[in-house]
Amino acid sequence: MTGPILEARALSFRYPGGVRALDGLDLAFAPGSRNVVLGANGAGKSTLFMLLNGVLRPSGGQVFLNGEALDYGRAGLRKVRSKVGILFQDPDAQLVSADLREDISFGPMNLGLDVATVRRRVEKALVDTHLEDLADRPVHALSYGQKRRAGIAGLLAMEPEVLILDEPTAGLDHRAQGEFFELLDTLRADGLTVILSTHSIDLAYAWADRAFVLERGRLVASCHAHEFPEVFPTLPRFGFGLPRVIELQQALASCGLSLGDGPPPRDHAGLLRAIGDASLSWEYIEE
Amino acid sequence: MDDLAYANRLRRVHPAEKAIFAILCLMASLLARSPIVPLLVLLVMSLVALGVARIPFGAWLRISLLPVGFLLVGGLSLAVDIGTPQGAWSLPLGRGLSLCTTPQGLRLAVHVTARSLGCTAAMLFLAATTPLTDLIQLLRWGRVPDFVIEMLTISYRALFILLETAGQMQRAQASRLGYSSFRTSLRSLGQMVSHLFGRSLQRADLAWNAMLSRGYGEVLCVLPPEYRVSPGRALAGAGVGLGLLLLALFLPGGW
Repeated sequence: MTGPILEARALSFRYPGGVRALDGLDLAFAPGSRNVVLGANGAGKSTLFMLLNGVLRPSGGQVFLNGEALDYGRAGLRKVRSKVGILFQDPDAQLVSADLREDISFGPMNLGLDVATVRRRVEKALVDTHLEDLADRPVHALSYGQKRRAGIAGLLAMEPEVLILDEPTAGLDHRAQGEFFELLDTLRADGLTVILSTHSIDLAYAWADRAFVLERGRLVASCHAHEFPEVFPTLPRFGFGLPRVIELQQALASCGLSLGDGPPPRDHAGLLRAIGDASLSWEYIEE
Repeated sequence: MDDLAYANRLRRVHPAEKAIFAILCLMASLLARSPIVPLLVLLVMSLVALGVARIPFGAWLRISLLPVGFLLVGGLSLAVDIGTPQGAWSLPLGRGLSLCTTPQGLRLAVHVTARSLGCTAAMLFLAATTPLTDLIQLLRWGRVPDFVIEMLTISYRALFILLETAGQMQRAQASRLGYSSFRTSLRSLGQMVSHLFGRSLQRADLAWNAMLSRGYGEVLCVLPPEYRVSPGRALAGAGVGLGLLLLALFLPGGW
């Protein structure tokens, strides 16, 4: 087994005012994995992300990329930023130019690539994020969801190995969310490691290979997908409810309806399927 | 205006073609001794904007209304003098003073107004057919220093964010009756402006982090866009522009 692609050891960060944002975090992200960082507002998710790509420098501890400690010199920063892309929460903060192609080219041009390569990457990123028909519109004429995709296109054009997404589903409508996860799945098929932060325990339960829970700058829980059923019921301690699929399963179980012996379903669609399969063996309860 | 620039038939035309055409016409207007040439420029610009770029007539009228109205008022004040009557036409105001025009004054007024109309039309044409991002690209080719380009790029982007934020704040205030009377309007406006300032600083911080994370070094470098140059069209544009310029130089000033 290969080592983690990105790792934080005893990572601490204090803001200049003395506010401690992160306190001794240890986390590791396996290559090609889907990771969720759960935490309430102000838990330190965004700070963690900026540390992971060298925008902020830790006040204690270290970040490792492919086993090498981050070097904060010019070349080192260029390297980490080319491998680790962040999508910030606010899509307007992310986009620098009013011209979509110009904006997407910003990252790869900063990498010092030649114009032909950049042009190819920009076009590919436009196609991958389904923005090719919108490329002639100014950025300020795009919708919120489209701006999000434009932000991702700007990162993909840098061909990163790790994609960090800060609350990527916030403010997206149902359809845009669906499209967004389809996009993530295709990216992951290319071997990209994805780290995303969310408030949604349902999303974490349904999607992640690994979940990390932050509370006030500390890591309070971390578990792999196969441990979710044991760990997630302990999360209400940290202000999270149970995933709704688990709640429903428990409610069904308390009515004496069991879903069979298969692995417990992790998302809504899976639950519906399991109910459909199991209901054949249920006896209808007379009132 | 910004929307027009992105959605007209000349959008994909090389910005240099449009700029050369507009600048030649601008020079023709400036250098003309006869007021006919600038008026001709106005006509040509309007025809190209409406006929070739397919800018809707209403939109063209709307964007020209403000500058043209301003110019006409300016021209009128040049033409008309208050003083003792000497000229061909005067309207007595009493106390020995009258509103009057002189032939020289009139000529000057017509000349200045026509000239500014021509120049305005040329600039409006460029602004309505060429998005600012393309104009910035032109400056880049023109070897304008990087920091100026960078400022323009970022301010143009920031302008829309600022406008949108201001609009959101204003709607939020209005929905809580912030603009129901003159007094509350003043107070709301003041609050909005001060909040907007704070918000801009915050946003600048976020944008800076985002730019760093995308590998921003010392200069903002982006991919130069690709345009198709059509030699025929470029020649036609330059030809018309040059023709007007020649006309401007050789047409006598008297009328």
